[in-house]
Amino acid sequence: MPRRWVFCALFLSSYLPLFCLFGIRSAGESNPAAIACALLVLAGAAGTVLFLRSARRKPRGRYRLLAVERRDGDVAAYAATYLLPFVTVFGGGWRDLLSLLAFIAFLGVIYIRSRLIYVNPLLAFFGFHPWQVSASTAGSDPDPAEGRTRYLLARDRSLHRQESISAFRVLDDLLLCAEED
Amino acid sequence: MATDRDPRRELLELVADNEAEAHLTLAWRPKPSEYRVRLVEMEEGLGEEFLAHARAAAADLAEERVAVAYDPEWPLAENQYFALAGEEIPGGNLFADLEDFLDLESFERKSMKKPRLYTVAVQGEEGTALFGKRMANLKQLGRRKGLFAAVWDGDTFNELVDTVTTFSTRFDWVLWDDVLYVLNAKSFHAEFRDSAALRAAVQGHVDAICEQVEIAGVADFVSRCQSSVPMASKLRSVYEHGIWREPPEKLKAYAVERGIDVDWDGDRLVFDGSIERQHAILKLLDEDRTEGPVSGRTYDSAAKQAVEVPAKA
Repeated sequence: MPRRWVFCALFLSSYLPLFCLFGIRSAGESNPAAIACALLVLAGAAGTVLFLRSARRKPRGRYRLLAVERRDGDVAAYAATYLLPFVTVFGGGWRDLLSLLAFIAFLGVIYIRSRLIYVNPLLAFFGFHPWQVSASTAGSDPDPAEGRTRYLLARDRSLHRQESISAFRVLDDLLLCAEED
Repeated sequence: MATDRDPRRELLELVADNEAEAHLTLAWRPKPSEYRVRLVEMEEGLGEEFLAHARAAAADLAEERVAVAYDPEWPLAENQYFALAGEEIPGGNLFADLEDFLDLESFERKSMKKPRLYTVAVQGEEGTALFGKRMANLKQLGRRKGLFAAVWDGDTFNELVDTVTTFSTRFDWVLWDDVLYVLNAKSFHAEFRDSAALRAAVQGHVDAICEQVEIAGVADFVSRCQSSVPMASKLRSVYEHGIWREPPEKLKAYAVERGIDVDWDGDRLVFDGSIERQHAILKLLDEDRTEGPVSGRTYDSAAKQAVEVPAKA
């Protein structure tokens, strides 16, 4: 999956709860908006599945963790956007729709550029914890100061410094921890 | 306590393991001894293909080849390998970058330009082995100025839209456990020999030799040796292992006895500018003509390995 499709899938996936809430709030008031939200929810779900499936087909390598930092707290950054359906009066008019789309697009650009897109609330819901790590090839002896900082998604496990893990390289700066058999 | 470690056997076990994963890197060389290396994303099937070739190379190294001492002039046979370690390993930053290959940037299509070499990094439980190959004789097909590629599907020709790169089923070298095993000396030297340094050293080598045995036409001799890397390499071999410190009388007698066609002007060797005389001078000073002690035949032996013969009881 090329880089832009990874971002697209993660974007739709991370806003799935927001689309879901908006769909529920707009049902009865604006059926076209509700239908659009339902389609976006489906797209988000498909994006999540697609992301996980394609990520597990990426090259798998053995990494040594030079530094680890759990970033579960960053998921809260999305919580503010999930309040949107509750604090706005959504009439379903074109101005409402346009401003909502502009807001989501604006946030999307910021989240992609800041890599907050990797801190995905839906993946967190299913047990994937985001970590910020500095990782090198297992067996190599790099300067720890030169290690590249990346995000690592690991399911239901904790990670420690100097630990060796097996992970799929989804993007240069995003790894998905392989689940050991 | 001494251990009976066999690194080549360990390499074979590493790559044969079911958990071993193959990764592909491409390297470009913007300047001599300065490489730019990128990690290439591969489909699983292609990774298996590279892994199979790495396994074949590891088996060949462990079971079919014997070590010979490193000599750039030695024509490495199919059943031999050189082993280099420590400072002997060339390649500038290449191997340091490859050590942490998972931290390399990914290869991107927009930077598709024919690489110098590729490396298959096989990562297993016990470490990583690198299998390298020079790409000079491999093809890269795609649209370029004045050229396009077409593919035959059995019935029709279709223009090839994507770029196609060919890879070899064999490797030139293997790096494992801090030892570089050279399997193809010609490709290895073509990639890693520091041609500029070899050429630059010619003048010094000739100057040193001329202190013992003078060469008339030495300036031409120097420029002739500098114009060819194999000749510069041969001259270095002469400088390091040759017989130029022997007295001229001994050299003259050897040339006559073994039929080496050199001219003398008193105690000076004469270089007339011809390629034949250049070869003859180097042949003489490198003691290339030797006699088989049993058959009494005279052999030309441009590549030689000195060995210690045990003293007779």
